[in-house]
Amino acid sequence: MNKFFKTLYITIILLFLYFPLIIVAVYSFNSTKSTTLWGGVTFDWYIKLFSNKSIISALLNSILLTVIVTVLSVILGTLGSIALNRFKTKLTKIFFPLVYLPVLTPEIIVGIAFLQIFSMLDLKFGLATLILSHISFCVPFVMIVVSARLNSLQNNLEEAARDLGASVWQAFFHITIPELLPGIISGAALAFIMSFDDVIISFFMSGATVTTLPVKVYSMMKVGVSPEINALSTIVLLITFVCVIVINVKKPTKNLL
Amino acid sequence: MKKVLSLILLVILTVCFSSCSSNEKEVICLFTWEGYVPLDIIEKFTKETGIEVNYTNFSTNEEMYAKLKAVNAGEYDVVLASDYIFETMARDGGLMTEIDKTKISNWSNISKSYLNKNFDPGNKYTVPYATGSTLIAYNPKTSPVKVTGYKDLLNPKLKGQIVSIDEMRVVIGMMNLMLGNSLNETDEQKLADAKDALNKLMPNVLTFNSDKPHEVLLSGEATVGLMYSSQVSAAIAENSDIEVVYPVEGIGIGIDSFCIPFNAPNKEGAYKFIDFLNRPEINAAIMPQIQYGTTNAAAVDLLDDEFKNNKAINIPEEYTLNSEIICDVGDVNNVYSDIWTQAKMSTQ
Repeated sequence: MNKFFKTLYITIILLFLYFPLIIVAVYSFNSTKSTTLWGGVTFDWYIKLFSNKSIISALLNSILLTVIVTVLSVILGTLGSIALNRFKTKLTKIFFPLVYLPVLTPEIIVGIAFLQIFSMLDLKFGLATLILSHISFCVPFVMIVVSARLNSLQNNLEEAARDLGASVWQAFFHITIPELLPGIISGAALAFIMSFDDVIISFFMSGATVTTLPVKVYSMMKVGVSPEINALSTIVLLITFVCVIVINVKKPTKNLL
Repeated sequence: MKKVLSLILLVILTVCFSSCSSNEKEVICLFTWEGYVPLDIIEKFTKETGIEVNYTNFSTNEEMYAKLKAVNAGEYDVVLASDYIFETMARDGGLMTEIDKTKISNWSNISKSYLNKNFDPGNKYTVPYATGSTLIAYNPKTSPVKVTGYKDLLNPKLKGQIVSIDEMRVVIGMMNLMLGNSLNETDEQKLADAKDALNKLMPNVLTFNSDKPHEVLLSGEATVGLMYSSQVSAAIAENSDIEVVYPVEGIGIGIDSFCIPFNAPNKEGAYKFIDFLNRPEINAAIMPQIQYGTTNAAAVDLLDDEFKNNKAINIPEEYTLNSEIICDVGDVNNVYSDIWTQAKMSTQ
């Protein structure tokens, strides 16, 4: 009986999490445009999706933006965490909260703030402003995760390496970085997600020529979200699932995330 | 590490430069909701004129306004948004180009119903594109009363049978129209009358629902609904017993319109684009795709029959000619808010 309830409970939780996603995927094969009526199976939306220049270019923009932002945020965030961890002064205690304060600030405020600053500086809105603003809210996420990893480590290994004749750089690349890797990967994953699905800041930062996918999808509310988006979501979900499965199968013992 | 860094910088630089130097072809930047101008129409435009269209999006009018101000009314060539925001922008000044009607050869195609409205007198800055309105939908088979106008909604027989969109200005505006006043009434005494009328309406309202009022009507919980034309159309599509009512007291409409930002980089291209969309055959091809009413009188006859017969979307000129648009009422907005909150509180 106890086991029955356990299974039931887990089933309900899983349904709660995955049912909406399943609906999205199922309706990407719906032959009518409705989100409630079922009209038969079709692959038309997938074909339409790939011939829709507007959506595909937004998707490519989003991917390019996210990759650049993730790489830069990881580099900046990791270096920042190491610096904060290594050089402890009286200011460190104030500095760390300052780093993650932007994460707690409502996005609309950050968006408007960037909008004003960049227009004051007369910067042209586009990929460059998108990258700068996204880095600003992704770095804190990387720093939070990497700092947590750093604090759980002991410094002995790096010191031992130096003792045995490794240069500063060698010790850094062969000891510190591999040790931090799990934290760096989780930080990168977080940064990737935050950047990829951001709507509000992206809207204010995108220019007349560059727009990102979430901004595009969100602005479809006016005429109704088209099933092409269901098709796109299904593809993205599939890729995500495959990635997660591959990571978990490859490293069954070491928990990366 | 250095290699990775320099590679990234290289990518960023190439991207920045490539986006700056792609000006060999003539381009216009269109700023509106995604899907509101169908892609096949844009492709036709590019094929005919050789002008590429950059299609970027906003999701609310207010966002568009903030963005346009930040870029000093430049960068974008054509902005397509809702009526009331243009009134605010006009008051701000320096954001929109005065429309040179001689550059729009299809200007005469535009229906008089949608020109010279209160949000932009004389169409100084805007060109109408598409329209929607607030209408009554009801099911004559289940409703205890015959509905012809707003006054019928106050009939006590309809207790707990009305679903309405949750929009303060729309609902109070409807009471204003019922009393023979302006949709944008600012007179204190007349608003007090509207308040009394609203208090009589409240017991009849089952629920306020802006997103899916038609579903409340379809489920049979409500027999009468006050909702946007697109929602009425959705209701009728699912249940042919449901009828649309053009209220005898008048209807409130909305007009989504184009404007050309003051510092638009390619104003000539913008005029060409607006003119192209007002060609009767082009306009008639757009409207069934976006499911909004056309503002183009010459396009009406060319609409496909199914869409043309959709009474919820295509409203006869006699009803739209003198219709008003909800506009900014300034400080009086507080009076509206008070009436609205008090009426809602009293029924809870």
